[in-house]
Amino acid sequence: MQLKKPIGASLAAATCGLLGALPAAPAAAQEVGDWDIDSSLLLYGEDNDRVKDVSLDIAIHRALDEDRSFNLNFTVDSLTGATPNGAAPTNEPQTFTGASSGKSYTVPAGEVPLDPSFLDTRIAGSANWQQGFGEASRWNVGLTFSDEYDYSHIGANARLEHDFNLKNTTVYLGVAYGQDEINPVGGAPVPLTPLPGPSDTPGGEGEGEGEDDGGGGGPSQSKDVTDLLVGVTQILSRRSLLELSFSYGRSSGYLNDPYKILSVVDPVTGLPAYTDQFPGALGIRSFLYLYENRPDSRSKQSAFAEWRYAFDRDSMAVNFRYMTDDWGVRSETAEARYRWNINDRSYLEPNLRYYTQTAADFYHTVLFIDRPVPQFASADYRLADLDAYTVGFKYGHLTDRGEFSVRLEYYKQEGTPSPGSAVGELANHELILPMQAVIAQFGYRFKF
Amino acid sequence: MTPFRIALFTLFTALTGAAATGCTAVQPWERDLHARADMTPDAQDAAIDDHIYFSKEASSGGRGFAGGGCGCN
Amino acid sequence: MGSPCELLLETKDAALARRVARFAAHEARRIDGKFSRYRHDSLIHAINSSHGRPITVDDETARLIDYGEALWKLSERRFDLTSGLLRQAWNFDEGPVAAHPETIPALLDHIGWQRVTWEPPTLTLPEGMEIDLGGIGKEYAVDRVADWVITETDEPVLVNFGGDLRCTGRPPANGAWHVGIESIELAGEAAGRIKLGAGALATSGDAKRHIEIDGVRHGHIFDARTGWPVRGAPRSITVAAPTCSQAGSYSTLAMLQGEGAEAFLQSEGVRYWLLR
Repeated sequence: MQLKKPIGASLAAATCGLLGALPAAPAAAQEVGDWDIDSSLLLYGEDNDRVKDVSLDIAIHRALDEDRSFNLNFTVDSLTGATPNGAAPTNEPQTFTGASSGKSYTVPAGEVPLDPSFLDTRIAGSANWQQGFGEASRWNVGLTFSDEYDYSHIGANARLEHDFNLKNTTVYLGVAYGQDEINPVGGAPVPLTPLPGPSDTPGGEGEGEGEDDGGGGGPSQSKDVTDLLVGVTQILSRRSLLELSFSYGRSSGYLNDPYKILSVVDPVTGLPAYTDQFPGALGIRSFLYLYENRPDSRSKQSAFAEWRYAFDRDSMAVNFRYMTDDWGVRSETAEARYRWNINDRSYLEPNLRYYTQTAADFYHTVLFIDRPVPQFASADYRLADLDAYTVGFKYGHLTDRGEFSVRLEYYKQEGTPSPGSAVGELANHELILPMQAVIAQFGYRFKF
Repeated sequence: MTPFRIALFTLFTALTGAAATGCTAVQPWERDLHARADMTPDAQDAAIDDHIYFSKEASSGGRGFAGGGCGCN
Repeated sequence: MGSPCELLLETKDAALARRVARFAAHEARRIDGKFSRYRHDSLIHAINSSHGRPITVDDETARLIDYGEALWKLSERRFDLTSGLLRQAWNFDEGPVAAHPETIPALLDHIGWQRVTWEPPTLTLPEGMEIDLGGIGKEYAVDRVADWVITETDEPVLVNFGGDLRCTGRPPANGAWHVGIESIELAGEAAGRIKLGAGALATSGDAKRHIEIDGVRHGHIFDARTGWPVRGAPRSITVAAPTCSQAGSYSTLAMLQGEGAEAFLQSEGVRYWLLR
């Protein structure tokens, strides 16, 4: 049996009689979405036709209840553009075999050699499960993977957190392990041996391996990475908190960049040496470049601190990270951001970042033909003495359905060549190309 | 600074900080500002930044994740 | 009230918080005391021991009785202020199957608002009958406190008496009050959540208490016409409405529809969450 006529009006009248008056506004109640989705599109572009990247990232978070939740993350990115191959500029054109394509390319005189055939598509994903236990503790375990045509990774991580002191203090401990497999195109080159000349059939490499058809021509290389993290977050007052952490990481295995080389030059003229000056070199006489070699292990430690402060309307955060490793690299990073909450629905957050690092012990901008080849050497500009800064902002706007955001950043990096590199002809050229990049990120986050 | 000293320094600062403020613990009802969304860093932005800087510089992480690898450094 | 009562308020004004809390506590105790079946000094007790003599009630009691009578009509007599006697036949405290259905016919002789003479402000309750305002008293208390708070402040306030709640003033800083309700099925034991920006929520049913009769699960809301629990009643219904009294009435009336609860709520056009 069912009531036939809607009773709403009669009930309202009866309630009005009971209470004397009724609120004018209707009730506003809706379920909180269980799924949190964060999506973002990243566009990254460097100057001088260098690296460009387009990347799409989706992060999904679902809380099952107060204690349990999981996170899924999926990223696809596509890189194109040129990247320095490690060789130094000189007063003649230089010809190299492209790393990704097997095709050769020629760099005009006076320019820092950039390998233009850099092309890569990568997918990556992670899954994490978090669960509370006890009164104030949580554990979190996860898996990660990534894949691109010459590199793949799988890993696992775990983390433990505990709150105490009325939840004013949280301590955490994390560990991660990853196993990576590297399949360079044409196989991993023998380190510190000459790059084959342009008209040689590269030994052990197939011509025209082409892009994206997978590395080949040699056994795959591997490396494994272990990371440990310990930290504490402490609420200092109603307005501020401090987070401190210390981490230790160790990687071992194949740590070389298989596509990077070093120029070998005359110590007086600064002009390139020739392959026939290198003991045991075969083939036609051409400029001498050697494949790089890095140690097969690296251990690094870093200390990190972040202080966050809330004003009545806005907030700010500053952080600092100090890192050192056994390759001789020491770096300092400082960041600051200020969140201006314009109103309930929108915000603007400018930010600044400053970064400086010292060169790795085995970083050499060029090698000299009169000296013995060192055990480890790399001219990868990312291991050089460098300074970088980032300036940017993020703008966000909340709608009923979700939050849109836009991030725009400008990154400028300048490297310093190894002392004593600028001999002879090399003094006429910029040995490390400064890099500028613009980063644009469009994000949309919603509950579902 | 040896790694051991960094660790010791970090731990010492952390514990001192915790102890010093433990005397004036912030009560749950005074944590209104900390609950504001902007007081928690955006995890997705941080992960994206970390990946960009990891491929352009010689340092990585240190902020608190153990993430995936890539063929970029 | 039989349940924990709380007030949540977002303000920097400590004096306001104390004032509002004092009023809410005082009002809750006053209403509880006045309409308690157990207290010998309560008005309800006086009415229930009147042995058929007419009793003149005050304005507040009269309004509540009018409301109960309106619900009796709107529910086609399923809801009845005089149905409290049925607790003698169905005793949940003794366990899920404790029931004495053979006593129901005798009890039904003393149940039914049609037997009551109600000419406001005079109520004449025949001998052997009793009234119980428990079904509407808690929601009324929430509304009384909320209506007073509105005159005191515009700051965000949530009045929550054991899960029957109503918010007043501006929405809180993060946009809405997040309320956990059991009427949303979620993995695990915790409740699903509702964002309440304005208005009230009330929940009927109790997923934890039920009785089994011949293997069929029954809730503990009774149809006053039959004396039996409503067949096919959902385990829990939560309704959103401008006032707590309306929300509570919708959820109670829907519960009394048993199998037809969803259809009832849909035809009323109210926002609801239901768990079977």
